[in-house]
Amino acid sequence: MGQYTLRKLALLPVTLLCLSIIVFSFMSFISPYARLAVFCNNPEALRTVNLDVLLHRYGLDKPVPAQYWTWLNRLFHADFGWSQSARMPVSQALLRYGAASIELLSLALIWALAGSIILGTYAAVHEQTFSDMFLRVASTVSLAIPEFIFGLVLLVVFYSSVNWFPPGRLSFWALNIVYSQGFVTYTGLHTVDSLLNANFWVFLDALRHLFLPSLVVALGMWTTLFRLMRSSLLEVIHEDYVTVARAKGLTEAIVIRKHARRNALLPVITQAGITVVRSIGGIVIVESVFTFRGMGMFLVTAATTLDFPAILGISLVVGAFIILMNIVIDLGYAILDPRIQYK
Amino acid sequence: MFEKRVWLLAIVILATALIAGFATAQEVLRNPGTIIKVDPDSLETLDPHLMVSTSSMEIPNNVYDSLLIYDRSAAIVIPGLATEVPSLDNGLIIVRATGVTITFPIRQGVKFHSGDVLTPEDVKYTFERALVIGGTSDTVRPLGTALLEGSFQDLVDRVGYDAAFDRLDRAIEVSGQNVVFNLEKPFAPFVTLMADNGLGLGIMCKRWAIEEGCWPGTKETGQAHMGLTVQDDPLFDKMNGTGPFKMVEWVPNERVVLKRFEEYWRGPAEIETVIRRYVPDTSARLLQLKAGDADIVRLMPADLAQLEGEQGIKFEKRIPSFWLIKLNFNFDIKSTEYIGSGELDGKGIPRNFFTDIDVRKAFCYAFDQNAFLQDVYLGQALKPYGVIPIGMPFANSHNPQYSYDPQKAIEYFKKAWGGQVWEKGFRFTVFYATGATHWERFAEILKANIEALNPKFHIDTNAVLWATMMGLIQGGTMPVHNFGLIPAVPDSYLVMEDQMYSKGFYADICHYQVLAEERYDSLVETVKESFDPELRKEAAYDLQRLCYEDALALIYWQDATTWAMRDYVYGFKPSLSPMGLDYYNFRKGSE
Repeated sequence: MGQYTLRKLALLPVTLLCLSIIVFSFMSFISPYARLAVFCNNPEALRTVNLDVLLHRYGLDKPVPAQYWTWLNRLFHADFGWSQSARMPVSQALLRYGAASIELLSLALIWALAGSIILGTYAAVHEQTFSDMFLRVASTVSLAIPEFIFGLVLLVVFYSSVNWFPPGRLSFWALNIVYSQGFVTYTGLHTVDSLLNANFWVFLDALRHLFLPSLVVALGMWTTLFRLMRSSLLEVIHEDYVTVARAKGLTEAIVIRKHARRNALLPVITQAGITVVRSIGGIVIVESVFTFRGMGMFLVTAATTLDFPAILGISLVVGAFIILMNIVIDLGYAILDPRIQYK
Repeated sequence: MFEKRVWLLAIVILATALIAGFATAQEVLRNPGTIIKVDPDSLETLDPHLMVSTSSMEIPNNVYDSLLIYDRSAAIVIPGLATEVPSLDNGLIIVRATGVTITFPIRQGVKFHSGDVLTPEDVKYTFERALVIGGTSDTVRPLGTALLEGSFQDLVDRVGYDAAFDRLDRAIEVSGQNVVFNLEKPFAPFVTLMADNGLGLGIMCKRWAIEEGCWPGTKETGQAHMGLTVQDDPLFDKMNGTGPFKMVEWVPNERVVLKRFEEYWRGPAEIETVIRRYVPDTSARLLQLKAGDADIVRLMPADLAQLEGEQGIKFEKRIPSFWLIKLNFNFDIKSTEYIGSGELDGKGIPRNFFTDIDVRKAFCYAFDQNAFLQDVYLGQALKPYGVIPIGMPFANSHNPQYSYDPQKAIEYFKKAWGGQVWEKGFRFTVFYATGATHWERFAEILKANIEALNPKFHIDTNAVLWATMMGLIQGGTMPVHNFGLIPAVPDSYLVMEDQMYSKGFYADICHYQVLAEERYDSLVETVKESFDPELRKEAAYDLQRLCYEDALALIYWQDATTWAMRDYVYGFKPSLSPMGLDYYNFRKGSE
């Protein structure tokens, strides 16, 4: 298992290098003037700046391979370049927005997994009952609700009407604390940092801001996981070893919880990993509606303004994340099912 | 089992919600001394010399001061960091055959936020830095035109660095408590340019800037600081002006916090803190205003309906900005990519299609401007008089204007290209930037109006990213462009230069330099060089008339800003920056 993990990890830099070459090669299809849009985000800028001077200033007039070489050289010095769309170095932007998205996705994953495992189990155990049908219809309906509509409805009800769950990552007073000199930022995750700084009120405020967006993201994840959990469990509970367990006189709850569900979880875990990776693109709308600046919004802004240093940085981080997630999924498989061994 | 878990989950959710609800009590958000603005745009930099976005300029507007102040309400220039407004009458402007000198007596005892006292050296340094580093701000370009007849880089390319720097050094001189600008050629808008209210030419502290790592202000070191990039700029995240508010915190793409400067030379502002939060989503902005988390929001026309009638919210409506949007005709389309066959055969247009004045006039008559203003802008925008925006000096309200007249449009289309346009028809593409709904609606209305005239007329519409559009504009391949510019300061020369001068922006991208040189240049130069207001006005009126007669562009919309604010916010005054606010007079509480 250790060797397998190391081998996979060793392939990581090679994969990322290939990815960076592919992304960089896209640049040759785009006019250098179009790439200047990130520096001239309105028509006035066209008048005030000499675009040729700007091309030279930012090195965009060089051949693409030369630009790639410069970028790669900087990367070896841990410099991802400057993101004009984020107004900060790419590495700093990745840390800041990555932390926000990790916080959001983690909570959403907890909601989604908890919901899908509990409800999926219930639906499978009560197959073809009213509850089962209700949950299946609910999962279809939740798939049909566009995220921005659901998000807006939640905002109108829980923010505009009762002011329980406001948008953004923190309230003004909490931001003042977080950006004060006495508050140490360890991870960029407000929930974690607030606990490490022993500030329970900021922790609660961060949770309050995470609650609605994570619910909306979880809704998108939940449907697939719920259906998978249900079908997987239905398959497992009809297998011989489950029948044997029942024959041994174990209660139904123990049969399901200890024997059937553990094996039924395997595809759910795999799918959960894939769902999280896919959600990186999907959280854009949620982040926008809830003014929750994370990787999704960073990615969209970078892509629409052709902010290539940022696009490259995001590609590498997301690429690395996907590879690492796959390793984690593989390892999770082995932990859940001791019969699986990697060589 | 399941029911137990569901109940447990419900209790956990409820408990979280309740605890979170109690957390609200902790908030001290509704601080009466704080104005909170939510804005769809984020700042690009804090260096006013490299700031290109109009929306960003709100911040230097409140942190820096310029030599003079443009009073938007009275439309006059009043003293700022200079104690007098230079004029021929007070002898501070002297016109000679060899050039013009303009003297600004600098106010004494003014303090920067760093505690330094303002000196004329700071003024000289500020303007020299703006030019040496190749400032991209809107006001730096006319400053270069006035002092060096172009950018510093252009001058260096022409005469070499040493000679260029010497000329710059001579152009701005310190004489006692005065700063003297020596212009080789008259530049009448100079006084208004110095009244940009800190948007781009606010005065910065020389000692502080050098200490922060900026250009040291010497000839020997200038070359190394030319062509400064945003990421290498020491002032990217720092500000130090003499303005009513000092910069406290900038978290990019999140928020800006300004604090009142107690030693402000005009007296401290009423409000203690200003927070500008970046909220890109329109609905979220409106919800925050409704909930009282925001105090003021700039509205798009469609947003108004969502807020009107809401308790506790008031409005400042239809404040004209100087942003004029027009459809620009490209006289020499550089490729046939977006003009079908490239021939006048009903399947395309020739590359010089818009050189025919009858075509241009037909388009001007064919577009239903009122429908656009009413349906898209819900009456919240203005129909401009002509090429000079309403509210700007010399805008002629009696200038002839095009209005929707399909019969006249048909008449001109029948005359165009010897009758071939009407007989054979045409097809080309109108682009708009993705997400710009007003441009999209414009394209749709234009398409409907034109295609209704003759079944052989076809307009395709296409959305592209702004980045792509920029490449297309630069490449000269679009048959028409649909956008407008905001002049740096309210002087009609800057408008005329952009719109009608042969070396101006639109003549360059629309390729009508020859027409401009023949018909407009001498008049534009009068507006530029004459210090006689009557002469300038006459030339400006002539230019507006010529723009109409030549149907140079379809000028269809002038932006007007609407602000929504909580009803306990007072002191609103129109700012020079259409998307920004001047917070000096704001206060919160009771009237």
